[in-house]
Amino acid sequence: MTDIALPDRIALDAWYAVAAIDEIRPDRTRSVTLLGARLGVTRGSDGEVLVSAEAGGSALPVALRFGHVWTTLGAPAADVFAIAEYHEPDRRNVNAGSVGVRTSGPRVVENFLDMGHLPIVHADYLGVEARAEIAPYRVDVTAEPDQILATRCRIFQPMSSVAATQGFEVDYTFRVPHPYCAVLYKSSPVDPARNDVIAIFAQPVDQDHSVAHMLVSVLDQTHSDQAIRAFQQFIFGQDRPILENQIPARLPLDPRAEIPIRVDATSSAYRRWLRQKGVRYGVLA
Amino acid sequence: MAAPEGRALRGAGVRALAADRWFTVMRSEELVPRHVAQTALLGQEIALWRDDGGGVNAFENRCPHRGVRLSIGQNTGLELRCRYHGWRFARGDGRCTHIPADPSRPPPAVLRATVYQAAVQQGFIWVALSPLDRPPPSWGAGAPWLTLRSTPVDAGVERVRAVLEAAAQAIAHDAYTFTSEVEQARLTLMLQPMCEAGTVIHAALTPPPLLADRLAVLRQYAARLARLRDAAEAP
Amino acid sequence: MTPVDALTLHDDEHGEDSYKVRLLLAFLQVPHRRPPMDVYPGEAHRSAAFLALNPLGACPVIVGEGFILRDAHAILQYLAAEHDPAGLWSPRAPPLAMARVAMWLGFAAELTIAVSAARRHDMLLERGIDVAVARIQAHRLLRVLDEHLWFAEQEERAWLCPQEHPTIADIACFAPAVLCEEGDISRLTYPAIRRWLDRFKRLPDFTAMAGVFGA
Repeated sequence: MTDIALPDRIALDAWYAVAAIDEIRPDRTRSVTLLGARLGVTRGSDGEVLVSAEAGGSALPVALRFGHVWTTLGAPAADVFAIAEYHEPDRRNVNAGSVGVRTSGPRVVENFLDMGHLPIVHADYLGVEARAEIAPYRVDVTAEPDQILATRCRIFQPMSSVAATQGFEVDYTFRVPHPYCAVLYKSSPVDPARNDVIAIFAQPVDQDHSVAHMLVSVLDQTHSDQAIRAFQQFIFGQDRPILENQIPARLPLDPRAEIPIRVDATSSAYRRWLRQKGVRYGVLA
Repeated sequence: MAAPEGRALRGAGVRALAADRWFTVMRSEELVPRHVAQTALLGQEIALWRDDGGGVNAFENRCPHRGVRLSIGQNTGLELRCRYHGWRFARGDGRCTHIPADPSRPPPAVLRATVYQAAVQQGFIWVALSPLDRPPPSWGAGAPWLTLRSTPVDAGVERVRAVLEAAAQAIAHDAYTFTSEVEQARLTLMLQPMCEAGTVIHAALTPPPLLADRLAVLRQYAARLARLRDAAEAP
Repeated sequence: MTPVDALTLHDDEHGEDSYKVRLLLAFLQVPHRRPPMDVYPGEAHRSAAFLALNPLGACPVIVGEGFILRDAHAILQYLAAEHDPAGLWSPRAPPLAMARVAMWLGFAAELTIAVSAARRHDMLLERGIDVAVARIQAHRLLRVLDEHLWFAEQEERAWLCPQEHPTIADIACFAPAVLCEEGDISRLTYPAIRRWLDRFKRLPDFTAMAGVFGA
């Protein structure tokens, strides 16, 4: 499908994750597509990462954050958002893979924010149908910081992470600091006073295709990186065919197009937030 | 199809011209219980399922909640259960009857799957995208016929029509129905325009062959229709 | 009864060929160990340790008492011969029945190559794949499979081969056929395949994987 509209200013002036740093082999160029533009990501033997536009070769801004290479096609007003937990000394930070998905960035983000599907799509792991009822929770949209925060979300999870040894009621907090990124804070099975963090950074390849980059930042001194990664890949592997069977691929922002229920408060706030910001890429106005 | 046209099938523009008629979409015996079939008509995807009462249900292939295809859902015998949030939609009127995340109260009446008219006639399932107050046509005039294997074609209906008219010496009865006389039998071909580049040719033979010859005849016509398909798909 | 650690399976959680072996191990309830493998992005299948098991660097591989077997279809044949005394999953006679299974294993190998290429291209963003060719090839094969299954249904047969019980031919074709949509290969025009996939999912001891919905 030909995209007649170029990416808008909001889409252009944002930072995007385009690769996990570890996956860029030294002295090799990795080709990635961002907002329809082909870019080259190179890692020199000195470790420096460079991103350039493939046609013309001009260098683009680069930020290395959360184990990923971030770049932009425009001029962002601020740095990449922060995730404080990432820098805690006892954290295990694992990049859980970069997976291509045949849907828009906003659909990827909204699925990540959704709780109603946890006992259905991820049955016996992140929820169970016998305890599928979701109690009302709180959603706050703030300008400073510019983000959505959903708190007091709770759900019973038979296996909330690879470190969980039994089922328990897990507290969830969702944060949307960027139109195409979301961060989840969930009660750690290892230390109930602290949170595990899972983040998804959607790279819009074009309006109907994305790459989902996933970060897992947990308190787990027992399991290998591979085991932590495998769990997240399994969970996302269950989401992916759902995402690819949503029609249309672009997120409809008209509230009459798809019908939410009370439980969908976070996703309703997300769609309103995108509309208010004037986001046009990967959505249907 | 070999060349998918992207997420939503193209062809909706043609729909206005042809929406007020019945189309064959499937042989009835192929719509087995506890299964959801996937088909399309004029660019509109359809989730087809048979409930435990034997009724045929044709739902728009899109959950009204978050747009997930109902054809990947589950046929419980009484409802179609969406694979995303487990919402259930009743046979008949498509009303949502259960929402796992909010089970305490009945779902609002506005929540329902869009239902298209479906009917079974002469061994085929017929669907109409707009409500019609007439039954599907009876091309076989009620005489016994053998329904043949349906042939999907990666070409638009106009191209298939052109091939049928040129190569098969078929007589057009309307824009989507042809007959041709073959060896003392009549072959009826009914075209299902799925989308801009996809058509299914449904077919039936009158009089039906002897039971002993049935499989051989089915294979013979599958091969014959495959040649028409190849002609339609040729660049 | 085989001791639990007699068989070790080295497999790729998301791969079609690995899924075939896991399916039969579950159908036959064969005890085995399954050490974790970090195929993506860890590339464990290219490690020196794994290449020592399989110089082709591909999953799945099984290691038993005094032997190593690679190649999913060879492993299916071994498991059926060793652990299915009734000979249902892989008939031991007559020659024609055995040959039909082999014929469909060959078909499954081609289908797996095409589907695997499309999935790796779309999901793992793997370079150097001509995905258009892969999809065309997959559709060519799926068309043949759909017609074959339709005629089987006309003879009141549920599976690829004429026996009443499914065979390893069904397992070998099931994995790529059920995963093909992840590589943007639609099953819209294969209604007989869709019905066969549902029948297969209803078999006792059927196991799903990420991306495969239950019946």
